[in-house]
Amino acid sequence: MIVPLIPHPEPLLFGIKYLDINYLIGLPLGWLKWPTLLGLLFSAVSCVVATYYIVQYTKRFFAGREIPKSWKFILWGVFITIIAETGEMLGFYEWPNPGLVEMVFLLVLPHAVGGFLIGLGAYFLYKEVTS
Amino acid sequence: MNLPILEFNTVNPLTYPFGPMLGMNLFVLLVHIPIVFGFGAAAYYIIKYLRKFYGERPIPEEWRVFWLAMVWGTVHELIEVPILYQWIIGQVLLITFFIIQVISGFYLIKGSYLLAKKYIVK
Repeated sequence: MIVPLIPHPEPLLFGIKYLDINYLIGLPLGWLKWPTLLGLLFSAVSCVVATYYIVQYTKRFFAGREIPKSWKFILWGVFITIIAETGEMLGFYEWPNPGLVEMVFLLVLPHAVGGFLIGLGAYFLYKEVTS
Repeated sequence: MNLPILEFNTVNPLTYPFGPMLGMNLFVLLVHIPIVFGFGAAAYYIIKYLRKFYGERPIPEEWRVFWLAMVWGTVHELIEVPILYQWIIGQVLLITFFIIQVISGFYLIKGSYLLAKKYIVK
């Protein structure tokens, strides 16, 4: 049982009208509807809360000094992951009719950019103590 | 139609999810490299940083938890690959996904909170 995307003659820019929390990737959730929604929401909210605390940490820890690029990248990575987790909810719930905006600009690209920045930030963190 | 308990599918990432649009399918597939390896690299470099910085001294709880957030973040991103490609579907997968989301979110909040806590109190 695979639910592929429905091809549209014109690219579907937004698929918000197809959003249905009873289905994920086009599959019926049944009793898993609410745990799935809660899990997806929690992922997005945890990134929001983490962004807030990382801002607080960097502000106070570096107090006046320039924040190193390691923490700048980590902070931006976590922040962009908020967009990715929100886009994931939209894209997965709109399946098999997700909009191009949700799939590419809210789900796939922010996930890649967020992950890349967090990885890069951690690399610079390591480089700062070795160089 | 009910969600199966667990089912495995063969899905070719070159023909999915955009059907005959090879370029788009390839884009979605390749973009998973920075997604998964980004978080994986973060977990790898943070533990290397901590070992180097703290040496023989114990790693403080805030940093240990923040590192765990990166480890579970990697697991979180990894499990989304078979979900997106529908290689695995079913209730068992969604329950596992839910648990991973809760654990990774919990560690991310706790780790960043503990990092900030000392300085917020001061």
